Amino acid sequence: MFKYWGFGLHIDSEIEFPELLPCDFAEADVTIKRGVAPAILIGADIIKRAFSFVGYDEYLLTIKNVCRYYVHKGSEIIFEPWNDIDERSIRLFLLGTAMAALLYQRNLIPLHASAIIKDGKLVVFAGTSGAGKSTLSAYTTSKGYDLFTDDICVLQNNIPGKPGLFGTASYPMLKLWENTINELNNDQFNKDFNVRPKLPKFGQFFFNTFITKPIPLGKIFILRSTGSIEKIEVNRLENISIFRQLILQSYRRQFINSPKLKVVQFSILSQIANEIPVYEVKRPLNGTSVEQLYKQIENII
Amino acid sequence: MQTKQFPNKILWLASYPKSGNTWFRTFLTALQTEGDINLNNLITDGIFASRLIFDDYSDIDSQHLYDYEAKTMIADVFRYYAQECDRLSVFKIHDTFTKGVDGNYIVPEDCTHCSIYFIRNPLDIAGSLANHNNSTIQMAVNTINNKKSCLASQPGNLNITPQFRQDICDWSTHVNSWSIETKFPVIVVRYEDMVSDTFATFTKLLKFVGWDYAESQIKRAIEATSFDKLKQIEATKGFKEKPVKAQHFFRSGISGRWKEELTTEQICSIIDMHGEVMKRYNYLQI
Repeated sequence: MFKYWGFGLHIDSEIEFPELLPCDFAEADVTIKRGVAPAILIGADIIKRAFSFVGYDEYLLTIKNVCRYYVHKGSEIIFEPWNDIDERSIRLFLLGTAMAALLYQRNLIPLHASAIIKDGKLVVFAGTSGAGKSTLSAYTTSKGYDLFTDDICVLQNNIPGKPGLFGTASYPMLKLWENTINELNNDQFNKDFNVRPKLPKFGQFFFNTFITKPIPLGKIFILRSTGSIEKIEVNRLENISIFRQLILQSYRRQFINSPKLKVVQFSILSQIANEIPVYEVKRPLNGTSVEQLYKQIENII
Repeated sequence: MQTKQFPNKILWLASYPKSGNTWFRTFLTALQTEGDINLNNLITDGIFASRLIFDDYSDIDSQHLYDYEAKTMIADVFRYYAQECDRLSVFKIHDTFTKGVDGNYIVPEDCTHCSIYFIRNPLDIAGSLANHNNSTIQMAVNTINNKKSCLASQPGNLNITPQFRQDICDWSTHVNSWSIETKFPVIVVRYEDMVSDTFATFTKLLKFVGWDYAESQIKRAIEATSFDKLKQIEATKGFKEKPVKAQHFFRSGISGRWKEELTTEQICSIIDMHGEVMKRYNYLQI
């Protein structure tokens, strides 16, 4: 078995994960193994979605011609690959949707966000896919900031002995599209590791600076691109808006269906709304550079 | 739209670009809002090619799928969307009615209520499309004539736009795909008829769908969505569907501008390629 740290958890895996942090431990929180996944799930709590079944402590996702993932009790992921599918494709969706399902089963809230560190606190960039989270995070490294996490930041407000709101990183790899790497023009980023064989998106590893301990939340920026504006707009959100907007930024928010999970989410988001400055950053769909975006928020970061 | 009618079904508003699709969506919105139009909040359900809808309903980050993979999954996404919706869902679509690599149609036929197919003289589409893309008329003519034309195309497998790549093919292929290949009810409506007799045409379309609105409601919605009104609203409040490069989304709405805009060569190339289908819809009286 390979042993890793990822998403704040100790992970035993049958297959190698170059994306995760190798780590020694006695007892695993999560086991990842190849096996036969069920074709369907049945139960009073099971909701059938387009390609998945979602229950309180079971989840099944089928990505045709790629892989089937069965996640249960927050402690095991069984993957059943299609013939001849490559391991990078298997890992990419496992570290996204399947892992999100597992985190929810453990009553943790994964925010769809990248984050950097400033003065010992997290500056979080949340947003849907394509909002510019990874690009902005990557750009800030040229301004002296350290990357903390990409795409998923696990939120917690109940760490024993640590009052307050914390974020935990996913794993030490940032994913950047080829055009972004070209735009950033920074030797730090390369095109060596395709996240899928034919996808021009490349993993950027930051093992050397990676931090596994939870870090207090400092500020949150919700990134949004829209065709209805001509220039970048930055607005600080009020309490109710914060709650409403952040619900939408929970990674695979449709999985939040158990009463207990709803209470956890409510508790965390309410605390954020009361304690953390949250800004909405809207930019036009095209025509703005990451440099322009950064300039609009650098004084607030 | 009229609540609770045709639950779990989809109405497709299908068209080649710049053929009156958006105008009709503003009209449907005005029907519901008693004439109060916010262009940035049209009440239809969105566009078939939206990654946001796909991601929300599939649990999968579509940016990480190859386009051909997504096209074999998209029908199931919309089946699920319809299943979750207790009224008729209304989607705009520019894709050609075609099959994915698995041999199945990308549009789910089983949960389709019907489709309205908006058709417009391709000679007039050219000028409108050029304005939309801020391109030359010749480039627009090339699009209309190219069997492999697509929208939101990206080099390689780059997946960074908010919409999937949409294969629109050439104009005739598009028209034939939606008017001949489909097994569900389709009404083909000419943009020119929408302009010349808006009330009669829109009333016919509503009846085809099965919606029952009073004459006064229809007239009020038509009044609220006249081209002059829409241009005015776009000028003051903007329109998120306007491409960045375009001066404005709503241009003139007038039919027949091709006579001033296209060269004889351009006219001939469109007629050579699409004469048969143009004739079928009375765009050629020869």
